Amino acid sequence: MSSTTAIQAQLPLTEVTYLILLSLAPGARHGYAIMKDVEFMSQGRVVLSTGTLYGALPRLLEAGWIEPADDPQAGETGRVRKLYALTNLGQQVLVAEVERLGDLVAAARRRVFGRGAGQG
Amino acid sequence: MSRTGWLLWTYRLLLSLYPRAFRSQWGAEMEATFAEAVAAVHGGPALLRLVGREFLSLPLLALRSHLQPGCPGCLGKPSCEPGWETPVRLPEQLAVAGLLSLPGLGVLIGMPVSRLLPLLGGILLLLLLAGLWLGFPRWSLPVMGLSLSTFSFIYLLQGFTSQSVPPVFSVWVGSVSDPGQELVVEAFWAGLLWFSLFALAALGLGVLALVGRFRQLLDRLRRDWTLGSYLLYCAGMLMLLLANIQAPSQPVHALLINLGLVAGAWSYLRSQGRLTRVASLLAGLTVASGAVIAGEWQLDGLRNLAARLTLSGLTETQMLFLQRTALDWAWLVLFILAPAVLRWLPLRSFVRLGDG
Repeated sequence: MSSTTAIQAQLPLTEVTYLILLSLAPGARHGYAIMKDVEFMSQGRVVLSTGTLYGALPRLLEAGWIEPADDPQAGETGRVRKLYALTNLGQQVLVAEVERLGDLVAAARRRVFGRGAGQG
Repeated sequence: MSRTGWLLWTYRLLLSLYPRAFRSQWGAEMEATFAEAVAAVHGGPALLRLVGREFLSLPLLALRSHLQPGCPGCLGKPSCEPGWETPVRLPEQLAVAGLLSLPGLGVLIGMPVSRLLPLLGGILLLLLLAGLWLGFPRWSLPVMGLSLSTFSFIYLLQGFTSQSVPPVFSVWVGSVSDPGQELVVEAFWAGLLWFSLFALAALGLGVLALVGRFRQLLDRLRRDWTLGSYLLYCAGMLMLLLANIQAPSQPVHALLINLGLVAGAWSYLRSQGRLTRVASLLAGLTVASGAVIAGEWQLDGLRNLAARLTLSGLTETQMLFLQRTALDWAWLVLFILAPAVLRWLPLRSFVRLGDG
């Protein structure tokens, strides 16, 4: 099975998984930052609890889509916080999902707003 | 304690519902994240929403993590399939606890022993056959134990125990008149009862050793001797229960005895180390024995409770009952710890006899 096929087989992602991966796209984050970012991106519609987040993180780690990262602020704050970052595989999965969702939205726009609107 | 302190304490309490392996890997981080979320929230309503969301979701998500296939929280390990060394999952714990509660529930609803034994025996026989078919997985050990217990009790009822005693002992017992020696006689008969159970278990395992199919079970017993203790503990449950329920008016105490023993078995399944596993069994046995004594004393009313607790106000009958219960407890402790000694015996050569 080619890597593209293997990635396609993972789709569609659940909303929580998608939002977590999207949150990590700009760079590594720790748990609470992921929760806040997901709430921000979804405009308050999706609010992760720690149980939901830490139910998903182990699965994403096991799937190899994310990996632990070093915290550059650990020395400054004295706190040990675990950061998570997207792996290359996770990046590919996210891109594939974004493309899939984009195709769906484009098809919807064509039907609703563009050519062929109103036809059965 | 501050409000934040109480919230963290409650969160930690709910976190304990998660599997141990998951907690050890993720618990601290989850707690830190929750603390960070609590610190960042502003206003009572927002805090209420946060706390409500967290505290309501944790128990459900904890249950889901118990039911997930594979080993919860053991990411990255090459073999994550549940085995004898991995923690026992919640469904298996519940199944074992339910099964071990059957005798107490039967007595609680007033089922006579003459009906309880065949019903329990029938259920156990079906599960025993299933265990035989599957090569006796871990969940079947309580079934084996209870089955041994049921058959031993029938053996006892038929009077075979006394008939199998060598005549020299019967003569000695009959000649005892010194009250000081009566305790020795009591200890002898109690030991004979429990020894017959132990011998039956050893005989059963010996038969299994001859069949190659059950080699894996015996290997497990050798690697973890507490499994033998667990089997004997479950075997002793029914005997302890039925031997101490004298009248149908004691259903509550039957249930308490059963619950004490079930709690010990439950705690065994949840324990990681061998010492804590055995300690769980001994604790369950002690609680059950305490319930036996409490049930007997309550029949006599709560009068002179202080005198009873210091043993000074006990009648001769009550003292004999206490001694008998203590002897039962002591013999069972001895047999539960016996596998720790027997593991040093050269059983491997015996097991090889079963090579096909």
